[in-house]
Amino acid sequence: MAHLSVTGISKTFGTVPVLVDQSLEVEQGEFVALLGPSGCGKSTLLQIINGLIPADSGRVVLDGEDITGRTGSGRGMVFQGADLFPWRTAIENIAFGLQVKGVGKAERLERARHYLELVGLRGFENAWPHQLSGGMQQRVGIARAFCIQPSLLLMDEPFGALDVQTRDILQDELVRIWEAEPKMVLFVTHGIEEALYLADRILVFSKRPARVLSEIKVPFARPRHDDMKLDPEFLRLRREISELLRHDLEA
Amino acid sequence: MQLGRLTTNILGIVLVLILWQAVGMHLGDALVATPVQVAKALPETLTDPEFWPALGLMIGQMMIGYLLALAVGIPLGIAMGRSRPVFTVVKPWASMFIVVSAAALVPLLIILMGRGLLFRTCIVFVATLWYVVVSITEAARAVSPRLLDVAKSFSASDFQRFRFVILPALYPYLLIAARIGLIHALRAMVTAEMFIGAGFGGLLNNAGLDLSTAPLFGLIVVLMLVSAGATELLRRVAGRAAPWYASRTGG
Repeated sequence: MAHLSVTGISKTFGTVPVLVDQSLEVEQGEFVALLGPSGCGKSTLLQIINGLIPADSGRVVLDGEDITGRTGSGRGMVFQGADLFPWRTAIENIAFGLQVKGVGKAERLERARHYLELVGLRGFENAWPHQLSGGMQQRVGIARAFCIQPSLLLMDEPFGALDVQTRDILQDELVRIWEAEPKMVLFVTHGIEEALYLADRILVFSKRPARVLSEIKVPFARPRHDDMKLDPEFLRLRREISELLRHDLEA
Repeated sequence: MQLGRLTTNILGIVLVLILWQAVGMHLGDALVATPVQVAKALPETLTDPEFWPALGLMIGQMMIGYLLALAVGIPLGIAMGRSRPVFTVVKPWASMFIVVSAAALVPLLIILMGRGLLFRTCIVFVATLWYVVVSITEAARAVSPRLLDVAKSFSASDFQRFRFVILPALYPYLLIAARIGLIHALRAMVTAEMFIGAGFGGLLNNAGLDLSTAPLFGLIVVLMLVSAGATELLRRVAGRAAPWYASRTGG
């Protein structure tokens, strides 16, 4: 059983406490959104789970393995700006994680092609990143993370830099891909609607130092559709979270 | 667009030639030979039995020092760009040597090692090395820390990050450094040969003693063509070897 358990994470940058004793759990196949104001520390928490930033204290356990302070093993990361390697074509970018693992060229390109097609980029195998639009670049970024078949997918405001239309399309695409290959997802965002639309559960974070203000189970069935954004329950939850965040910021 | 640029290029060259012709006709060929006189003198220069061996000798001997400078300068530059201690130790020397002109070092090197191949190799090496080092250092310092983080996220080892991120990121700059280095190598070589009156530099010296400056200008034009031709060749190699860079910069 895939399972992520994060316990007692604290982090201070210089003298500024960013995270104080934070814990969270993610169950197999669960899509969890970390929602909070910009700069609150939710991205820091994600990078600690990813292993890029060392925590001052606390433990990260994935599938029974203590992975605190280490990168790799079981996690796939999607970065905010896609951050593709400009000297690699789309398919070579997707295959990167497999290459690092030492998978042979023919096999890794074959597997990369599968994910390239899954994110709808058939025909763009040999395109350079700068020839792709922002949305297409992030599709490659998503495929790159899926290609190593992680049990946990980490996404740090992946659609934050995209225009609204592209973001809506990519949200649907992400859900479609994720339903094809379900895995645990931690999705950092400051968009309330985005969190409600995508997640099974939302952890609403306070301003810095980040702590969980509220945990919200999203009651909508899957597959989800765009019309649910007009559902009275959706609007009620949106208003509730919005007031929660505003109240915290003004406190 | 391409055609327009070519036309502008040719127009610029024609304008300079006209100006040169006017100045030459005014001053007389003992001071400034006109382009027409140079063109008439050029066949004689090119058929001079000494000319081709001198040119070959200059380029051949220059290549030794130039390639050595690349072989030492590229690794040293990368080390300086990626390692604080190496940077701190080497940078003052680089800054000092880069401002010393090759001509200033020639007398010292002649005293130390005579006028043979060792001297010529050495002067080219010293004059070229620091330009290569400084360009590579700057490029290595500018390697995107975000892309290094991406690689780390996919659990790339230090060596893999060097091979998959730092080296490809530096690739276009290696060829730029090779181009800059080549120009300085050629300059140093001509300077050295003029001091000792050998090879192509020797021909330049002799031509300087002629009654007409036409042969001298002829040699200078040949030198310009060699330099421009070689850098253009390297530019094309760069365009082929790093298409993602060339197509992004429109080069």
